[in-house]
Amino acid sequence: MRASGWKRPLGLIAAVGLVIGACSPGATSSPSSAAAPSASAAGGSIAPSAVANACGDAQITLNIWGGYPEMDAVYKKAGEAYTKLHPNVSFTVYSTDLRGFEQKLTTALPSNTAGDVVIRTANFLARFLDQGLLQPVPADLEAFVKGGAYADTVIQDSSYKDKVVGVPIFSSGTALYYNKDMLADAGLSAPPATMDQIWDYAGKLAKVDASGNVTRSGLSLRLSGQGSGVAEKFWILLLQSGHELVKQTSAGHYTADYNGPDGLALFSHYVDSLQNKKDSLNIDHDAKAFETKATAMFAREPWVVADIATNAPDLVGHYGSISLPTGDLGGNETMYVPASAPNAACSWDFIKFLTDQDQQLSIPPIAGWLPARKDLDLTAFLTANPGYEGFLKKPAGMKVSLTPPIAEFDELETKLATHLVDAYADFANLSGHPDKIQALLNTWADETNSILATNGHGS
Amino acid sequence: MIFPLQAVRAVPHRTWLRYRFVFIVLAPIMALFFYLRILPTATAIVMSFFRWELIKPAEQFLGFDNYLNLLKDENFRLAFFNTTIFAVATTILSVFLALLLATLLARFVGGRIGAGIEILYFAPVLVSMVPVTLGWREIFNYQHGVLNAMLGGVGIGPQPWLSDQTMALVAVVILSVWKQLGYNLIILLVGMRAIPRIYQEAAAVDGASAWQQFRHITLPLLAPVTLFVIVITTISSYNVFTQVYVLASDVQGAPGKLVRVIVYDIFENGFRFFKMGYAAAEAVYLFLIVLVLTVIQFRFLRGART
Repeated sequence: MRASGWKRPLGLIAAVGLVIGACSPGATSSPSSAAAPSASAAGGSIAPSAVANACGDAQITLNIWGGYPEMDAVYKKAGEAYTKLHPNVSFTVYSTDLRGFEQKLTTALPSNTAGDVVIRTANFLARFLDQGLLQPVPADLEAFVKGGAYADTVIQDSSYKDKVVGVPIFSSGTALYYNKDMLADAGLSAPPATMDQIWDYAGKLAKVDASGNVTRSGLSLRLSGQGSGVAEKFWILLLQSGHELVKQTSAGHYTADYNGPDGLALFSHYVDSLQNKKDSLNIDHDAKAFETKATAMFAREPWVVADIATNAPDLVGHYGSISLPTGDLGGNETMYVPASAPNAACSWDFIKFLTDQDQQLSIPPIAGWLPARKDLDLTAFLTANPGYEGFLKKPAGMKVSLTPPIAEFDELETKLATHLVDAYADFANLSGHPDKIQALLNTWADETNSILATNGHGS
Repeated sequence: MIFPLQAVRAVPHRTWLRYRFVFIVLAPIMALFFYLRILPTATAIVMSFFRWELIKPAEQFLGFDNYLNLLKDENFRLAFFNTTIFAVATTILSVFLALLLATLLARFVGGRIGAGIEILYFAPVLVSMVPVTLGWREIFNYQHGVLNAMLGGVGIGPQPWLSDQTMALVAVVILSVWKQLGYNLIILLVGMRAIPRIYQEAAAVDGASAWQQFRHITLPLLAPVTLFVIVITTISSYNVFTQVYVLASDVQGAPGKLVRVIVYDIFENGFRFFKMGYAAAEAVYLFLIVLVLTVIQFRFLRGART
C-alpha cells in the first residue's frame, strides 16, 4: 500500500515532468536566425559630423540593428567614415532576416537589450512607441526631416500620431520586372502600361509543355508562403484600381476595402491565371523564377536589381523594369534610438550622419534600395543601372499608399494572407464562380473588420 | 487516491536518511528544472487568463475567454487537426519502422556491418533540423526534385509535395520520420539486446517459430522501452515546428504551403501578433493534450505488459 502510495504521485509527477522537459528547445527549436555581429573597421571617406562632441572622448561602441542584411555594408561604410571623425567610436552591425529581426526587437526592446540604433518601420514599432520604449526624435532632426529633404509620404510614413517618430534612411517601392527577350519572342514591342495589358501579356508569355504543365509563367504571382507577404502583393495589385486592404473612414478608424467589385475582379484574375495556366502553384516564383527564366514578369522591390547582378549576371541588359500603372505601396525604413540606449546623443548624431547626401547616395549601389531623401541627383546612377527605371521614373499622378499606423495591421494582413493561400490552392473550384469568390471575400472582410473593432479601430 | 504530500509524509525518517545523498545530488538540477521549466509553465498558465501583450503584461483579466475563443478560432482548429494527424502518422511510422529495423539488425546483422548500418540510420538525428529541412525542400521540389524524378522512373507523375495542403503534410511526415527513425531504432535495439537470449533459446527448444518468439517474448519484454519511445515520439511530434517553419519560410522563390501546426500558431499569436495571453492559452491546451496522451499511453502499455 505504501509502495503504491509512492508510485502514483511519483508517476504523475514523472509524466508531467517528462512532458515539460520534452517541451524543451531540444524537442522544438525555435527559428534562431541570429547572425553573428560583425565589426566594422576604420577607413573610407570623411563626411562632416553633425555635433562635434556628441560622442565625448570615452570609448563607445554603437550597435546598429537592422532587418536587411544587404544594408550592412552601408552601415559599415558609414561607420568607418564616422570613426575617422570620432576615433573613440566603433560600430557593430547586427542584421538578420526581417522576420527574425522583428522577433528579436520584440523581446529586446522591452528588456532594454536592443542596439543603440534600431531600424524598422514606424508601423511595426507603433506598440513600442506607445509604451515609450523608443526615444523621441530630437527637435533639430525633426526639423530636418520636415524641412524639404523628404517627400510628404516618407514623412507621413515616419510619423505616428501626427508626430515624426523616426528618421527615414531608405525607401522601397514596387515595379514590374519584365524579360525583354521573352516579350520580343512573343511579338510584344513594349512593356505593359496598364493592368489590362499586364494580364493580357501574362497569357501570351506563359508556356505549357506537352503534358499540360506550366513551365514558364507569364506573370509570377505571390501564391504561397507564411506571413503577410501574400496579402501585401495582392494589395499592391489592388492599388492599381484605387483600393486598399483597409481604407480610412475617419481619424483612427478603418474598414476592409478589398471585397468590392475591384477586389473581386483582381481575385478572379488570380484564380483564372491558375486555371488558364498562365501561372502554376508548382513552379518557382518571384525573383528566383525571374532569374532562372521560369517567369517573364513579376512585381517586386528594387533589391532585385542587385540580386540579378549577383545571381543571374547573364540577364543584365536583357530585362527592364517599369512602374506599376497607377499606384505603389511606399515602404520606408526609419531609424530610432531605444529609450534605454546608453549613448543616445552619439546614436542620434550617427543617425544624422546617415542622412548625409553622400551616405544616402551610397545606398543604391551597395544595397539596391533607394535612398529616403528626395533631393538627390540619381541621374548618373540610373544611366549606369537602367534596371531601376521602374522605381525612379514614375508616371505623373502616381498614388503612393502607406501601411496604416495601426498595430494590428500585421495580424489582419497575415490572416488575410492565410485565406488567400488556401483559396488560390482551390482555384479549380473558384475560377468562373464570382458568387463563391464574393462570399469568400466578404467572410474575410468580416474577420478584418472584427480585428479592427477589437483593437478600437473599427468603423 | 493518495496525494503527493501524503505520500511524502508516509516515507519513514530512516528512508529519507538513506537517500540523503541522492537528494543532495539531485537538488541543484531540480532547482534548475524548477526555475527553467516549472516556473515558466506556471507563468504561462497565469498569462493565459489575461489579455497579456508582450509589452503590456496583465492588461485585463479575462477568465476563460482566451480558452473559449480558441475553440472558435479557425486557425487553432486547423492547427490542432494538422498536428494530431502529423503526430499519429509520425509516431506510428517511426516506431513501427524502427521496431522492424531493430528486429532485423538484432537478429541477422551484427559486427561492423551492423554498427555501420546503425550509424547510417542515426546520422540524421545528429544534424540540425534547419539544414536538413532545407535539403528536403530541394528533394520535394516539384520541377527539379529527386523524389519526383524517382517517382517518374516508376511511372508516377510529379507530386505537388510543397504546394498542396495534404501533400505538404505528407512531406513533413516523411521528413520527420526520416529524422526520428534513427533515434527510435537505437533505443529499441539497445532494449532488444538487453533481453537475455536464454528466453528465445528456451522457446526455440519448445518449438516456437521466429514470429512466436517475437510476439510472445521480445515484444512483452520490450514494452517499457517501446513505451518510452512512443511517449518521446508523441511529445516531440506534438511540438513540431522547425520543419514546417523552414519548409514554408522565404518561399517566394519556391512553392511552399504552410502546414499550420499548434506550435506555429502559438509562435504567430505570441511573437507576430503580440497576443501572449492568447498564445499562452494555446500552449496550455497543447500541454494538456500531450499530458493526457502520455498518461493514456502509460496506462495502455502498462496494461498490455501485465
